[in-house]
Amino acid sequence: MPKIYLKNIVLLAFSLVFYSWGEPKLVVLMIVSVACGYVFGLLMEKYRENIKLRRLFMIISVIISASFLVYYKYTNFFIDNLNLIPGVDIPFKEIALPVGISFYTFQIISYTVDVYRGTPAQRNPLDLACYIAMFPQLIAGPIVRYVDVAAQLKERKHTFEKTAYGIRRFAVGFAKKVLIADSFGELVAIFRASDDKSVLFVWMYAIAFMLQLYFDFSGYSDMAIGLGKIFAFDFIENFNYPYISRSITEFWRRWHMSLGTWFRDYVYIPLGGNRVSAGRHIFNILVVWMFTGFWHGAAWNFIIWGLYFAVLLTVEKFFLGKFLKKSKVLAHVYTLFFVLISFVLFNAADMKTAVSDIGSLFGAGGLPLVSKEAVYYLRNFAVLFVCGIVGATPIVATTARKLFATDGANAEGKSRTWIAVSAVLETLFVVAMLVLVTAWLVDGSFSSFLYFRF
Amino acid sequence: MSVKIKNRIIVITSAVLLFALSFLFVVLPKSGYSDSERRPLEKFPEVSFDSIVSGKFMGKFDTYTVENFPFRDGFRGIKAFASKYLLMQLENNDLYIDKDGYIVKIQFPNEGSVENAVNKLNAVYDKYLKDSNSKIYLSIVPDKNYFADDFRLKPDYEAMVNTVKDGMSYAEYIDLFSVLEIDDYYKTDTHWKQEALVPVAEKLAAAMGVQLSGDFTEHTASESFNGVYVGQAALPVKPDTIKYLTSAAIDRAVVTLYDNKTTGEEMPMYDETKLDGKDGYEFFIGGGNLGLLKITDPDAQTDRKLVIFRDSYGSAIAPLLTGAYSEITVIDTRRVNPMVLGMFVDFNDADVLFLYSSLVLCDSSEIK
Repeated sequence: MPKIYLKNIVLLAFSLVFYSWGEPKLVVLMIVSVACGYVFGLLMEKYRENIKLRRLFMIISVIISASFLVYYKYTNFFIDNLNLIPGVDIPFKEIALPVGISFYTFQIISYTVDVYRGTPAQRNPLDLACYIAMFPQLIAGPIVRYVDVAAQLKERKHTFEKTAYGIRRFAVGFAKKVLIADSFGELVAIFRASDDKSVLFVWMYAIAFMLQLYFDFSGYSDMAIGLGKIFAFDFIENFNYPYISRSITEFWRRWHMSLGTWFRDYVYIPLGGNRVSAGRHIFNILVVWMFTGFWHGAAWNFIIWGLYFAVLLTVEKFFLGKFLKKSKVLAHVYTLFFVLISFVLFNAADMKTAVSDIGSLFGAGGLPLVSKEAVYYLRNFAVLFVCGIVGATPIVATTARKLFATDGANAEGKSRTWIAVSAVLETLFVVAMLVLVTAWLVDGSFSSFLYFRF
Repeated sequence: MSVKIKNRIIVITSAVLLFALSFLFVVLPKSGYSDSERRPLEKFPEVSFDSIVSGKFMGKFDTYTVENFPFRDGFRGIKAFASKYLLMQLENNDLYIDKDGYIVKIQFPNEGSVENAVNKLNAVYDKYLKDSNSKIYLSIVPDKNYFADDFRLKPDYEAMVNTVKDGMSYAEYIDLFSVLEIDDYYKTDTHWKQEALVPVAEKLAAAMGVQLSGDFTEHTASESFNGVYVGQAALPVKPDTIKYLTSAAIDRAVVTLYDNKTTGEEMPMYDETKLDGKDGYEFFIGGGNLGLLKITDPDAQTDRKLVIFRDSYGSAIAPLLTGAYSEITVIDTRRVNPMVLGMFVDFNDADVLFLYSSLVLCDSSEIK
């Protein structure tokens, strides 16, 4: 047996154990999903010349995958809303959301549509399963498109360089998640439970959540990309310092990039994208963003959250874009402000809380400006806020690269001694991050990833 | 040194770290108990088809890994150190160390906890005291956080006291908040220091109409007392000194323990064997561990009897009342079921003191 098959089988086996660790029963659902994708992939391949049959198989496959997602994620949302009709009273179903279903379903759909569009179908079911279930990115992305890894499933090369990069990336991601995101998570929970709220506290909460979400999710992506590198895969990037954006349009090119790309490739462009009338174009934007919102959660505030971005993006496209180019400062303030509002909406339990939370940012509900708890926690989290805000910009990475990177152009002007010192420092840094993260985990102060909910 | 060597160093170091910790995790013995945090640790979970399919095994295995990780106390120390000195946080795991080195726990009342305590104590009142002619007193011991600087977060102590006072209106309230200061407490432990409690005992005695018996002599029992917060705080701190007071009355009194026994068994007032144990505070009539004991002094100034319903704070102060009463019954209804008390205690004509710390009121689930 060639070595690469063996590697894929080992990777798949570990991925299944990993997934079963969190979902011991519903691992079957994932396997069934993959099997459907595999069979319909082969059928499309077999009837490649028959466009009608090929399309039919593609549609059936997408419907099957999507229906699993709809059933597990949205059934109770639909029941809840149908029950609003007088006389209707459907009991809720006891359905638990399988971990990562939103992510792996999108990967199966990506595979199906790619094969429909001409990518050769995967003949080896284990390789296909290895792609869908690959544990580093299985439960929270990046959403890897099949076309991007198809070749790597057949051939990939391990090097010390890739592995060392992977380890560094993994350690940084792990630290972002455990040290920063979880600490902000604590503040978010404290705010929710507090009886001593104030306008200052609401702003602290909003900023803390904004930072928590970024460090949690981009930390996970770093870990996934890092682990991918250790196994010699190159996954696409998922975040590119979204909070330095100067428009919402730019923000979405930097935030959860793999999801944006997925919706562009598999929803927006098939709908006609922007090569249509202005009216139809706006409609396409609304549809894509409604689904983007709905993908994040089965509740109205997620749909509104998606549409909120649709409106902002449309406004930027047709009017605001020109003005934003005039003042960098205003553009940053504008972007951060609207992103902050969006995440308050995103994190609300329901629309009522969303409205009251957003109102409280501006003093609605008679909140005092400052409260004792707000001041205390501002002191308690001051250093973390600074770390979080600076860490959300490229400053840290750029400085580190200038000082320590010794590859290619970065090596210029660095003495041999400094290169040796930097090697030691870099290793110490990686070890320090891993030790700190372990310390936090062993102390019991950790929680699961936010995006596991989706 | 080339980039190649640097990459190798990173890969090899990380691999060694990963494999060494995994190896140690497997081979190191697991004691099943954390001395520093004074609690049992998760055992290796049972493996069965059901426990795996339901996910219980995985959940427990995760806890087992975290709680039995190699060098766990060291890692916890690193976390505490990094929170305090790198992230400059004001607290770690709800504890902070104030400027004078007192380790203080920030404890807010759990939902309904104060009311629960009142209900449980009222049940005792209804069963034993309502129809007796005993005189009933109530006192609350503030925890160290009461004395903290103003910017610190603390519960509303006044509201807490009022809830208890209003719920137990049959009892005469004796205020201790005004006679205590933070240096009346150990730095590393939750408890108050016996040698600082003479004014407290005097205040209680005066309110109950008795006089403390004679002069107290101070002795040192241990200079290496690591209190309950040492392990929880996981930071290096200097140990406390346990001092204790004796008097003629204390020396001649007999302490009898009735836990799980009807006949009773004599035990020391101050037990030096406990000083090197898991909790040095057990030195004082068992600390917070014993349910029912009596301190009898046949040569007391009066033949009056006192019953103290208390938590562990009562262990340091009860001995100081010896001699003022001929018999002091010390009851902790977290350790003994109050339903059986009638077999051991005659409440008629007794003074009854409910003495509870604010910490136990905040987390009263153990009171029966």
